[in-house]
Amino acid sequence: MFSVLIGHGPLCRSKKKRYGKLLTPAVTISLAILVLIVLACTLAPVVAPCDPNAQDLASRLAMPSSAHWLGCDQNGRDLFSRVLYGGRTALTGALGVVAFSMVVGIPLGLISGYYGGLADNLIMRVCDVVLSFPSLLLAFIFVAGLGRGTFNAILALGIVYVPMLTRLTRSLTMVEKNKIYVVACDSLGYSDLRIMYRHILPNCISTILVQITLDIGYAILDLAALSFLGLGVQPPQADWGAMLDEGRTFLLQNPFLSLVPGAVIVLMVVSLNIFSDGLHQYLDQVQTALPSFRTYERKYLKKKEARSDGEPA
Amino acid sequence: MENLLEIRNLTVELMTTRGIVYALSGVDLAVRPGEIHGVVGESGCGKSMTAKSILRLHNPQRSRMKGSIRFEGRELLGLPDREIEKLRGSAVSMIFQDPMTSLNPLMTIGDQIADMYRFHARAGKKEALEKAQEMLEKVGIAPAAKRFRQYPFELSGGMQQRVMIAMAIACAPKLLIADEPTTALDVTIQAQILELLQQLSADMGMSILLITHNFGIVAETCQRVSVMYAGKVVETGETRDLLRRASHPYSRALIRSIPGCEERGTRLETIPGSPPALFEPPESCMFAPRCPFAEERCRKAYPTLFDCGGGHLAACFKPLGKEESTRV
Amino acid sequence: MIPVLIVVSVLIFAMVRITPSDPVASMTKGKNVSEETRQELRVRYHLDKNPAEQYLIWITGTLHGDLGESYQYKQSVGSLISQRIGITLSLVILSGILSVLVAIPVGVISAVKMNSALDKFLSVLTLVFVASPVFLTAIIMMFVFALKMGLFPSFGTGNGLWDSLYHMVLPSVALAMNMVALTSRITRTSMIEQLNSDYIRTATAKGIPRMRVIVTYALKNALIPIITVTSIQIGSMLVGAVLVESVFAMGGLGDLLISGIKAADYPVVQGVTLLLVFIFLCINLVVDIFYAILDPRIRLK
Repeated sequence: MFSVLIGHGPLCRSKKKRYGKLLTPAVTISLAILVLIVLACTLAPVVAPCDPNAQDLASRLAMPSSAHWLGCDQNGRDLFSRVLYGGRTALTGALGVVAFSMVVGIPLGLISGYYGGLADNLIMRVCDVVLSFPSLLLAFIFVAGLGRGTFNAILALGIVYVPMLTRLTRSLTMVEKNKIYVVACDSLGYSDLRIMYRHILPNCISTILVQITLDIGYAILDLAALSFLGLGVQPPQADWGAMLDEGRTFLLQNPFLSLVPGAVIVLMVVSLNIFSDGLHQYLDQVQTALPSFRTYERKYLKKKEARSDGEPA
Repeated sequence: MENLLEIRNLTVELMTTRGIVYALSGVDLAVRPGEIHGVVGESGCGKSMTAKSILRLHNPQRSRMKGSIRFEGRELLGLPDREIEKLRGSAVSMIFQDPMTSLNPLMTIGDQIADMYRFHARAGKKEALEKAQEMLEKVGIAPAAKRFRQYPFELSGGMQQRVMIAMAIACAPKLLIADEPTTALDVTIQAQILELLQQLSADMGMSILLITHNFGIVAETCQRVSVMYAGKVVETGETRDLLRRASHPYSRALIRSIPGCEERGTRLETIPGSPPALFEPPESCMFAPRCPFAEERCRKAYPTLFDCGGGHLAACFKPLGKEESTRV
Repeated sequence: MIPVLIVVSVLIFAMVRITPSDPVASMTKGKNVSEETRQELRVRYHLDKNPAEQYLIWITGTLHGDLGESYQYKQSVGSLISQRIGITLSLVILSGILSVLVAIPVGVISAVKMNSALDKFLSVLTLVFVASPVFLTAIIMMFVFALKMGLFPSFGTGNGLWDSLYHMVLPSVALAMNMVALTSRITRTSMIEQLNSDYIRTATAKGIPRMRVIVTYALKNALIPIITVTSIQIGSMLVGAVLVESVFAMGGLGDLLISGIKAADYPVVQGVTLLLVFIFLCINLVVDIFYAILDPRIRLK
């Protein structure tokens, strides 16, 4: 009976009518692009016309043709195949970065926000130190110490991403902690762990989820930056960032070498951003996302008319 | 007597996350020169909405207004933005419920009051500041010279509301709209603020439209009162008359639910049910579902105004007779 | 700030040395040298001592303005940095000013004209620039304006004030784009929030002209989150400058840092990193002062 009353806090009201849909045209399109890119990259061995490392010296720096859809690079490797395989590296890398930051950052944030005191102080000081490095700089020296390479770059970025997520989770937890349902759970003698994971976390998750979709986009950009500087993915492995770097030497001969991976990165990150925005507006019911009165009325009335037309007179 | 403000059949539709809300559906209201006119009702009945409509403070993209609002005989609804901007603060001004958030946190209160003179009276900076200081004294903030340089967060809630009042009356408006001016304040401070408003109204011959949910405040300060329910004015009249013989069942129930009006020991009355959601434009009496006297016609059409005499009007098919109301 | 700097210096020092790699190789540029020479080099660069001692030597030197000697260039790190810092700082400052000048008006206009066609156009445009990595923007600008149209030089830093500025145009615009996009988005969000607040309603009800309500009332209040984001952005611009310098071969601090990382040139990596963190912390300090100027609630506490 009590647990019915307390439930999982505000999530009990999840049945309340939400305005609008998640799948607005913009979100649908961006989602479709995301699915397309992700599918194409995961299925690269099936989809790609060539081996990404097979060299065809005769068609070095070739422009797009029917044989090579996007042309070839300086070693005569098929650009389209390399973009697909490069996507695998870039996407798994970005997911790895975000997964690492979630596994470490969310529990730290929960502990920090829920217990406060010494634990909070300690965690926040560590975050302060990490955040005193301007963005990627910390990742740079991590790589300097650990050595260059894909795995080290992912690890370094993962560490850089932790404090942001920790701070976000902490501030959300601190708000939830003082709500009645948490106090009620506490008075029922639930364990702290249970309260944190079963009650607080589900109520913060929508905001965290929005942040994570954004973070995946940033991770793609940052990982590409590391590879671009030669600190991340090492050639000849295909990767969007590394390809951009290799291609810029041949900008005048074949601009596609740099521009295609660049365009894919932009497309991917824009789509992630739009999707994240849509998610945010849907989950948090952002008022500013409302259409103007006239637009709404036009749609609303049209629907109403359509409905009344359907009814027999 | 010519009315200072006359609202006729005002409807306001608002766009919200849950669809279109018919916030006001035909409000009629008149404020006479120099009077304090109360507007009472439950939260969400459209009191504040009516107040905001007068100065056109809704987001124009998210709302639509119809009907007529006449101020000194001039129609405000169709007025261009620039004209309404001139009117705001000079002829009609407004104070709000929460003074804490209603003042600009980054400007000294002196500067905020001085802005009134700079934009309405076209006064120079120095002159505006001097006048602002005078105005602070007038609303009882002492020492004005010191307070003048302070920021809103350094003042108490009551002081902040006095600053709001000083700002509102700076240009000697003919009408002051006070939207729940005392709700966020302590009871003792409430009385002071109301006294100040009454005194200013008498001194300056300024009308006040006092929005409140508290009938007690109305009884003490207002000459006339309008009772609102679900986006409509259901009853209007002289305060004393209305309190003595409320004709609309809603007003009567509202008056009976005030602590202190009944004899000791009797149970305080409540109104069963809750106000309707306003997602559809009303076609019948909105109070009918909660009304103990409702009959068939109440559920079919909206009642016309019933004249109870002496400017006392009630929107009810069966206004309660004298013999019933005298008990109140 | 001082304790943070101490912790940061320890962290930098330790991290550079996480994996035991032999920096001697970078000193000798891969040439085969005798064990004696190796030992000599180790002694010369204090690599024979234990890490704690090495740290103390480095940090006392740093406090006296001596950042040590680069393994690859055989020059003092201080002089290496002072040759290059001008390029990096002027790049960051130029694009910082440029982006604030563009971003705030764009953000304010989008907020005031919320949901209009102009707002939608601007938000799509800024979205693309947020998503475009700074090196891609730089490459495209170089390709279009330098290589194809020949309007600007494609590399180098130039001589003399005007020539230098001319060389700086493309890099600083490229670096600014990202920040313009982010800052204008924050400005828009923050302005919309302020424009919906109670005190703006009061100001409107007071009959203050719309322009003044927007600029002196709303924008001033909206500036606080804008400054917060901008200060973090300047941090990422310091790193973005590294990338842009690399594209335009400008030979600033970025090149020094990256080549140092690749060559395990500890003193260079430590010196440059510490300097960048120091600059970033100074910027944060300036931002705190800005807050105090702007917000009396902070100032009077």
